[in-house]
Amino acid sequence: MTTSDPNRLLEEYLSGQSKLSRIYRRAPADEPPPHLDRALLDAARTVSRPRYAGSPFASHWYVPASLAAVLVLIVGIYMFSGERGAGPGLAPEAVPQAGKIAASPRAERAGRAIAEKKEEVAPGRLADEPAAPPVGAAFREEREAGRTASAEQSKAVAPSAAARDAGVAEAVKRKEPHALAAAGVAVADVVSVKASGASGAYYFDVGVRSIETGCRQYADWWEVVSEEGRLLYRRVLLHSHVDEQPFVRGGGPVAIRPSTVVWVRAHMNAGGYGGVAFKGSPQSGFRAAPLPRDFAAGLATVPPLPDGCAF
Amino acid sequence: MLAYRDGDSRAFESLYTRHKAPLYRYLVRQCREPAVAEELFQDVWMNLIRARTRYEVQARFTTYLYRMAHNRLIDHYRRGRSGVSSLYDDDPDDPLMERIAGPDAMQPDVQTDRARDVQRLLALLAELPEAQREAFLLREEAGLTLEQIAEATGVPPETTKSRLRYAVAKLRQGMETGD
Repeated sequence: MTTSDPNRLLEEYLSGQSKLSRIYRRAPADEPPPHLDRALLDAARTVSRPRYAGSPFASHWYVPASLAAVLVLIVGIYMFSGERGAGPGLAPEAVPQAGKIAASPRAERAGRAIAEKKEEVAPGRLADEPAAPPVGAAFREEREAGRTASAEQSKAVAPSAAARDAGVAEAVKRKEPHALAAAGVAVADVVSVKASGASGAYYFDVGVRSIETGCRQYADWWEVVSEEGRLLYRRVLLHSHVDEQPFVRGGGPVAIRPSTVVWVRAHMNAGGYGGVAFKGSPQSGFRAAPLPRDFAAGLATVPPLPDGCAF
Repeated sequence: MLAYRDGDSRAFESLYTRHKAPLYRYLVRQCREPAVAEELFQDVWMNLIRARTRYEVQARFTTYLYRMAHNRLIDHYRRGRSGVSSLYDDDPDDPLMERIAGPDAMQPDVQTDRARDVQRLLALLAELPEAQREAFLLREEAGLTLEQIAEATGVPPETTKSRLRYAVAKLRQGMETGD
């Protein structure tokens, strides 16, 4: 190579004939790991639904019908919330009751429907929705509320240890995500587990749902633990997922047999373990199961651990 | 992307297959931390999935994708310790522009084979200021033109040209010591 005028070098480079380009193209063709491919393609397939049924008629009734459905949901939830008299300014003792309502299947379905339709109705309308679970606009509202709460306020609404454990048991029994969080416990729930791969090297795609406010309160890892309480794998999360709930993160390989039964649980930087955990094996699949809160609690200090939170 | 917006998930697979590797390398080489790059990579695609219903054809899809990736990177820098302003401060008159390792700073070892050329180029690339490295990577990995790079990074075309000119000059200068 010989040095020459920078403009001429640039012209040569832009022509695609430069030695720099030739050398660069020989660089390792790094690709994303397979578990990322799987997680993203699954996510794309999950949310992808035909916008119209195909007939011209469908395209005409789709929008008004959707708006009507959203309006019915909003009115219904307002009436529902009015009956119980719970609003944004709940007293501490009212929080568990709010949690039951927020986590009920009907309210959750309504919230999901609203989240799906949020681009088609006025954002301000959704932000006023008090009873929807923490998704979409309602989640933003909850997040903002969390951001403004001081540490002292957080302590004031935290339940006793007994109530917390009872809440854990109840949440696991009902298998309802966010029941704990609604009860004032900052935990992360595992909401889905998929394992793929082969004996000795399984990759896990784990869905996690948590109420996050940023680095002060976020899910900082999920992990795979043997039935005996031995840490088999931990996927450290580098940042909060305030605007992506629930989120799926892949990890692995996990060196287990197809029939090996393991626990999959998530950890919250603020509240530790205690959210909904999944149990199962690659062969049998995974489902939510009651995990004692103090199960392998010592793993919280075992490496690898987060060395910071990006945001 | 229009097909995916309208519900064809196979269209997403096609887009993903075509763009995943260049986008991943762009992120890995730009932020230089594979774990962070994986998170950013996932965030970019998830943002794309979430924004699918709002997608309108305003630019080439590649430009659109890398615009999202650039914004995500900027967000990452902004939340980091360094701050984005200093990382993207590429005023040609600024002394910062001279901090790139020149011939004197390079090891004078003999690097004649192809593998060493590649390693040397990647090392030089890593030493470039973020904005210049990004311009080079967008050209090499995404195949963007100067105008498309400008559009993806939100700066005037002349700024992009300047960044790329400096990047090429510095990489050439650094590689000469290995010839």
